[in-house]
Amino acid sequence: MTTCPSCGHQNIEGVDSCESCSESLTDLHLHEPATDVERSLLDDRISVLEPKSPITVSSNTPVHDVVVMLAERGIGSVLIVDEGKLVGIFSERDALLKLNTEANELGEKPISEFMTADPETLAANAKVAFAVQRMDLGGFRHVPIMAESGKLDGVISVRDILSYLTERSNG
Amino acid sequence: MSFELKLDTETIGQAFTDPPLSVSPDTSIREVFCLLKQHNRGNILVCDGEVLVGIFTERDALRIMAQDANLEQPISSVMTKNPVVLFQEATVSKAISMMARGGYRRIPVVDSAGVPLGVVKVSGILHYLVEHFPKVIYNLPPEPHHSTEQREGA
Repeated sequence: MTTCPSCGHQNIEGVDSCESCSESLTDLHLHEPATDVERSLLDDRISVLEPKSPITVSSNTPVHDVVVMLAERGIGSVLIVDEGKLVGIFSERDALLKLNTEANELGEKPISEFMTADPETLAANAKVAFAVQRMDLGGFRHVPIMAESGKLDGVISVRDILSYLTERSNG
Repeated sequence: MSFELKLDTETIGQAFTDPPLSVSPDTSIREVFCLLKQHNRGNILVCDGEVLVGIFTERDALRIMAQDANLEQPISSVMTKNPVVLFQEATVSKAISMMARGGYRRIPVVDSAGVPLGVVKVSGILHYLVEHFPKVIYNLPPEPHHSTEQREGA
């Protein structure tokens, strides 16, 4: 049997494309996974990383309150959500670059002025390898994960991916 | 063509380490904040002479911003002293497990005398994975798009 790398369907040996999702299977011989880590990255979907429930604030929250929240909870980012809709993300890197030595003076301004608006998201059923690539490309450390329903499902961090890799490479 | 991820044999030099950005222990927090912004970096190494004595990261910066702390204090009063380090012959896999278990996102790499050579970061590890993994994987659609109910044709 040949396992489709895209949807996981078990195909008859020798077919050119997956019977379930039509993905081409002709170049599969090029990337037969060589290690457990490779196989996991290829097969697993983001949902196995168990995205954490996001910490959210509304866009008019004063930036100082958000900074205090990040520091007290020991987290690296918050999502900005207005009326159930994701509108931005604010990370400790944003705090360092945008507030810097003026954190005190700028403290009462709303988080909307400092957040990264319309952040890139990933679908919960996307492959882990895909998440790795997108996070590398965009330089993201946190990515909001959307459920199939289009609702915010959680957040995954680079650290979640590292823990996942550690478990796989020791396994 | 080899696509194999050799996490257990390749050394952290392969994992896109950053050259170290360092200051002396008496540098003010304010100066460090400005340097981090200027270099767009999330960490700075604190060295006494050439020897690594501490690290200050954006997580520490966040704490200082939250407390409205005095920015004229020396960095040595707020840095993490004697940070966990890696030697340059450590493997990528060792760096990954230290980061995952200890919750570090960046680990200074030092020589046997304690002089920093670089910083290995989570983002460097991710980049290493992407560089060493079959490109074709990333060209896959993130989710299966088209589904056929039945096999076509005769």
